[in-house]
Amino acid sequence: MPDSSDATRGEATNLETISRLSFPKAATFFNAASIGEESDEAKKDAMDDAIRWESALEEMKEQYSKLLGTSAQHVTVFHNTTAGVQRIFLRLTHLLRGHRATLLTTDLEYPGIIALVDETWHGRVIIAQVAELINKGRGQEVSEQLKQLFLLTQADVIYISHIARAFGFHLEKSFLEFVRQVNPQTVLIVDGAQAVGNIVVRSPFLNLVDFYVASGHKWLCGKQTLGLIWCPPEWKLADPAQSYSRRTGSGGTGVVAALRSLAKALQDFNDFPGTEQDGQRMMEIEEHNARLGSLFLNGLREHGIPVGLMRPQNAAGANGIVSIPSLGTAVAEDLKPDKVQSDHEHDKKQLPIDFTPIREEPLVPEEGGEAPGPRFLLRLAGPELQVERRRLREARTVTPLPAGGVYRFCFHYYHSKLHVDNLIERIDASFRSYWTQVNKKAPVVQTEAQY
Amino acid sequence: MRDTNLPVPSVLVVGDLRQSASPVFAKKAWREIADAYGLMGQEFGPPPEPRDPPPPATEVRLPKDLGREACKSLYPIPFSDADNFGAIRGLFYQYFRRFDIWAVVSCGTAKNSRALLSALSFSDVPVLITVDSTLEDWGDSVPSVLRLIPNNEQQAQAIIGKAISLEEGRKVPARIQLFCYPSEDLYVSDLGSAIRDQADRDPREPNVTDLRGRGVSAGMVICVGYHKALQQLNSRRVNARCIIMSDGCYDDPRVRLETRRWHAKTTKFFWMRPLVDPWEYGADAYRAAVAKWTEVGRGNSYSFARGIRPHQRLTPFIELVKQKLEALPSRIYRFHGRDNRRGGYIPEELPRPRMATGGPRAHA
Repeated sequence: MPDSSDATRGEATNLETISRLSFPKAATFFNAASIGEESDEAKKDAMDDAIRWESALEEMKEQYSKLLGTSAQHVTVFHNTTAGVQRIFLRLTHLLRGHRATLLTTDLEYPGIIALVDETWHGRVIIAQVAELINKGRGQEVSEQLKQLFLLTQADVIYISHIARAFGFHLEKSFLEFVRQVNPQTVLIVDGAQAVGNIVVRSPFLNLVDFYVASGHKWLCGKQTLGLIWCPPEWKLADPAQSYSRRTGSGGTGVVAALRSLAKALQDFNDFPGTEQDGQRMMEIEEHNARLGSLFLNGLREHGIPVGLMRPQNAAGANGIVSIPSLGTAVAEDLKPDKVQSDHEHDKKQLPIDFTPIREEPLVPEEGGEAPGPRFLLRLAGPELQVERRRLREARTVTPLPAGGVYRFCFHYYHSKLHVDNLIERIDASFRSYWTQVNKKAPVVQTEAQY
Repeated sequence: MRDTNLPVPSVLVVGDLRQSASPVFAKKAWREIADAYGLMGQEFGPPPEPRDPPPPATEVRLPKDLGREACKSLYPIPFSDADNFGAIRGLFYQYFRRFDIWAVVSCGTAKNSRALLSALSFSDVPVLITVDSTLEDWGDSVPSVLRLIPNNEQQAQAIIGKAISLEEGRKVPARIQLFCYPSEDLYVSDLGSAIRDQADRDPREPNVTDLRGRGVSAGMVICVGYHKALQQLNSRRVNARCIIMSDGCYDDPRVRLETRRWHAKTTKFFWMRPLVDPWEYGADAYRAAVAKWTEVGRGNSYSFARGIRPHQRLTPFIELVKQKLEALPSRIYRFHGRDNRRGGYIPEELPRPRMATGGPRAHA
């Protein structure tokens, strides 16, 4: 049966939107964490061309550092997240001075990052196959497995997602604490693209990491495509070659408009001036998103829709992402923009759903360049650990996802319970139709034990 | 209250640790290491008993009143590789996932040493090899390695030198026959090749040929292998004036017995005695690792950012271990890259078997 505390939490309130800005579409449910919604106010501010670039940058950094509860000196802005991560690896490569350090990451990371690592990292690269564990409903083991893998590999650098994009997997702080205690010199790079704006990310967590990577246009709701890196100034991450760091007249993406848009969006994640407790606003947003996620998940269960095992890791760690296996092509077709209408009274327009099931993607291009260190895959889900030396482009063939991929639903602070109910109804109707067509009978509501 | 759930810093000792194991160096090395750990106060409890196969310990914890950084010793863990190492690789990894392993002291066979290096190719955990004298082809992909025992080139040099000196003064040029058994054994084939190479390089141009057939009459025979190699020679009734046996035969009671059973009474036997007993390399490796482990890994990643400390803890760690070994009063270590170039072998003559003077056989 559904977790009663989740259900209670979802139904105890109307769960109205809590955004203070205007998001008229408020429609980014389905696989939409790649690009978040931009508010009307942010759009308007972005058009203000009277603002100087430096002022826009400073204002944005000020707002972002306030959200993180840290200093603006710790924030560096890049044209996009990939540019920021490239800068991190460039910096580390420089500091390594030819030494071959071992990098540990997981197969939950964005394929572009894996490709980047494969092309640029001279030392060993070790990819832990975490996805299979989660697919098999063993997501609760991941944190402990990661600790053990850190011991096993003695990794010098770790790149890992705070919230994994495909599964909503939530990295536990205890893993970072473990790494810090066992080997304080480990360089920890945490990818928070799906975390900042979705959950609270502040100094107790940040103090454990070296680089925290985020994106301005996902859960922070800014214009595309700024990349934000938090790191202690010792790392000297600012890149003189990046025009965002030093000079005006940038030819990069977004330029002043992106900075202004994000600064405005960030204001909505920060407390009003004079609020007693720093970060209170973001705590409310986190709570709201997690509640909607639980509400959606429980709603699907109550309708007998096989949500499988890809629920949020646990009630306390839930966030705004819910991932479920494919419900079948027909259901997915029904969720396409041309067939889905919002019943929200303020929005009669079609939902601009980005219909792209999350699937495996090629992890890397051709192997090349000067003799890189060996690449290893560590399979965790078997009866005992398997270590295989691989070219990374072969890795994708052994990274299993459920047939049909995984559908990701994202709930943010501009959504309400009404949005969630409408979505469940549409999925339910579509699923019943599909099920009846295929099985010649109506679906039976399953209990939790049957999942 | 300190967190006692953090992994215990450890050293894994790999070798044939069974009670019944016939090569005794691994067992002796383990006993010495366990004793050394005992003298350090047994911070993590008593050392485990070597078992076959050993279950990963779960009860080992950090001392309640002591943080990891204050620990003065490394917990020694025995890992018996009596059979095929590849078959027990999964169990081997369990130790790495449970403990914070700072070094592996390898007291295994040449075959298992290779499997061990392959199993650890994704890690920088130092492997301190104490008995395998064969490895040559270190690739980039093998982990951090130090070989404490001299390699086979040095033994080959000593064997050829002794063989030539024994032939000196004879009117016929030195003719030496080489017998390698079992030929597929890594140690045997490696030492055999080293002896042939050494003979080719020697300015005195000794004539070294492979011994074949039965009932051969040979002046000087070099016997490469273990006690079974000598058994083979005996069963083939090879008539030799002198036999020099490799260190695989050294101090083996079965070899002594075979010399007593030898078909010809005039044959002289020599065996190559390592200057240092192999088990001592194991004990030295453990002590050096313990002495240095607290010096590495105390910084933070920001100090790395400032270029103050090296980035990896295990790479500098193995360098520190190497320095510690070279500074030992015994002066038996001087590394060139990964290889110890000090130490060596002394050909030692076995005492002639005493004639039986009593017992039913004598009376018969």
